[in-house]
Amino acid sequence: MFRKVLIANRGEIALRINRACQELGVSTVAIYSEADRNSLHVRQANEAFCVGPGSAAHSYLNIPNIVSTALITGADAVHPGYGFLAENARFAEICGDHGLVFIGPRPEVIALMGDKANAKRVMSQAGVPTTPGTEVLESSADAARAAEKIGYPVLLKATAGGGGKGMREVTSADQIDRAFATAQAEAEANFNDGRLYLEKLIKRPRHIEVQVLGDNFGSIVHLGERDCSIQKPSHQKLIEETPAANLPDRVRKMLHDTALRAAKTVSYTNAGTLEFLVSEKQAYFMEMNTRIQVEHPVTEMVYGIDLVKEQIRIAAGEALGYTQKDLRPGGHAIECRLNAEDTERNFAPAVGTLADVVFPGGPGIRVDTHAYSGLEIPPFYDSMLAKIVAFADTREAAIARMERALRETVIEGVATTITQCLTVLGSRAFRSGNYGIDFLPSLMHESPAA
Amino acid sequence: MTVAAIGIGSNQGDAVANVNAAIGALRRLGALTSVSRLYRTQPWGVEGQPDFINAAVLLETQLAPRKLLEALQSLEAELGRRQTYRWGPRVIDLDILYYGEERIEEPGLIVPHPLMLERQFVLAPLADIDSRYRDFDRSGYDPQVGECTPLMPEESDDITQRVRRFVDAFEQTDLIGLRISDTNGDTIELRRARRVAPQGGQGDANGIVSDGAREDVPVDVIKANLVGIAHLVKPVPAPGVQLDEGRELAYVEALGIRNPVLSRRAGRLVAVLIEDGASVEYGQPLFEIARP
Repeated sequence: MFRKVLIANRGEIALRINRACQELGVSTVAIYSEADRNSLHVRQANEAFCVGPGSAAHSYLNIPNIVSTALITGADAVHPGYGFLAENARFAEICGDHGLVFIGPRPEVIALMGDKANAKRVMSQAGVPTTPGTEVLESSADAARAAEKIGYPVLLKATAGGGGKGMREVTSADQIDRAFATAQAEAEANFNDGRLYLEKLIKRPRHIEVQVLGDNFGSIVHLGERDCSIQKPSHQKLIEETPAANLPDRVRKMLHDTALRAAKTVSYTNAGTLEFLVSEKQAYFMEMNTRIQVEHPVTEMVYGIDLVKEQIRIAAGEALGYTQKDLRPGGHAIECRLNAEDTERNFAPAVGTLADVVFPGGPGIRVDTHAYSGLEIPPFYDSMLAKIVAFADTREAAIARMERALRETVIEGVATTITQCLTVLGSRAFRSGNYGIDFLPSLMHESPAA
Repeated sequence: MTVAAIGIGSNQGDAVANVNAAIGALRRLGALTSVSRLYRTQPWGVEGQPDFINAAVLLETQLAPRKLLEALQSLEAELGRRQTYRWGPRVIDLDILYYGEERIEEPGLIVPHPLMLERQFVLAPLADIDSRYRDFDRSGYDPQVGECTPLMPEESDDITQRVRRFVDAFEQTDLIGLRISDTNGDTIELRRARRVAPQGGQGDANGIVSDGAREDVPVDVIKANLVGIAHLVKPVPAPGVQLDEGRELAYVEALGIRNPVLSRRAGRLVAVLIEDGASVEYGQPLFEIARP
């Protein structure tokens, strides 16, 4: 096992990783920006080093300072969390060059899966179903020809994309030139890479993903699926649950088997997630996230496995020590993300100081958060304040528990997504388990004040 | 990081409370490194208009000028709503007086503030926090604006008053540093220019390197701009020594590369704040140099 791990992240995930390390008896080094001086992760880690000013580009993405911190503190491994450098193959490689273990998959696998168009081709060749689409497009004329062949509606996407940026829906041929130009400009601005590809738009699909874990000795298991269909118009997830409701066992098994086949195709190691778009009849591979996910706690509750500890154990060279049939999921878990966002103003991020903060508790409730009364929310980073997770024997009981927990929650000082989450939980469509990724956008459309 | 001077003014409602609330809220945009006294200005020649309360602060911020302006405007709106619960006249006015050394002339954003030197209610608080404006010729004032006088301590409450009282108390002692936190979570920290070198980041009293003189002159603090191991360049200059511009004082070794730490301008070395071979983080103070 490692002696000391550097946590290359901030916020709740930095606390989450620190907790796993402390329980494993591993010492921790936190990094922080000047804007995060008063953050909990700085206080809870064994050591803490400032690596740059507030802007992420100069602090949490500052590879030289982060690696230098790891070296001067004598850390043996680096956990990247999610976001920031988590899926940066170059960072993983540089860690390796300096004798630091990167807690994640091999750099070449990160690079392969990070290029979305490339990832689809590899999966398609391995017999994993993918949405009909193209490789990198040369021009908008190229896009128009491909769209004609596949059939409208289509989705233009950035190969380096994520978080809904550089993505445009095109319903007819006359829109494609403009959509191509805006998507390209957005991709250029956000990822410094304007390459686009195109795929068939699946109408009202569900977004269902499968968690996998692989060790360095060729063992790979899945830990079931998560339904993440409750998404904002920007495709950022708001509510996730496991197991997925109203999913025929045949489809569920097919998703699990496909995920395992996909992970084995690239000899995947450490924790990863395969995202699928699921329609009435088909499941299509969308992309693979080569890191821990924000919504990992729902899986942990249902499987009784600490995924972050497993990541660290695997990276330290330990074998999984169990096989698929040893894994026995039970119960139902739901996660709600509480973001500092104004739901009435299209989820615009809110900044400010948290005046009063009370989190829920009691049976079956887990809260992963870095928020506390008096915390100033810097304008530089993600707006997520807390993840509330409810666990119960049945889906119905988990929903009731979550509603109870959200009503206990107080966050004053900034607008949050609490009310929005309660509206979703109370809706007939959510309760029936009959919802797709269009659910939240259409709900917002119907009742903007909700 | 740039130091910007922000002018604050209010003449609506409880103007003292408004200005103090604004000072508190400005801390969200960066580090407040200096806060002026509050000043009262009686409007001249207008009957029945309430007095203006003014102040100024130095804000060490990472926001670009345009972003800072936007942030100030949203603070104005926020404080305005909070105080009056209605759409009324702005209860608080926040202006960028200067932004480092930058000169900007864009629609809606002119820096330094064009009327800065013509208004006593701007200049008087600014002189409190920036010595360059202390001896400014005040003969050219706008006669429309009446006399401007600092408030008595009992009139200005909250942060300004607390800081002032704390500074006065600190001056009476031989302490080299003092930090006070109150129940609101507000923290005030003062340190003398003559200072103890932190060892291992724990403020250990070993390694005091200083010329021992009380500093009344402005001091430049040279900070580490990357993470690594700091090595002092031998022979290590003793505090009190006059340094040339561009003198290599130390290097920070990071990823096998020696990154030199230079004196940015000529001046007298006041303090060496690190031990040879210490790990340093981004922004850690390394040397203090008195400006000539």
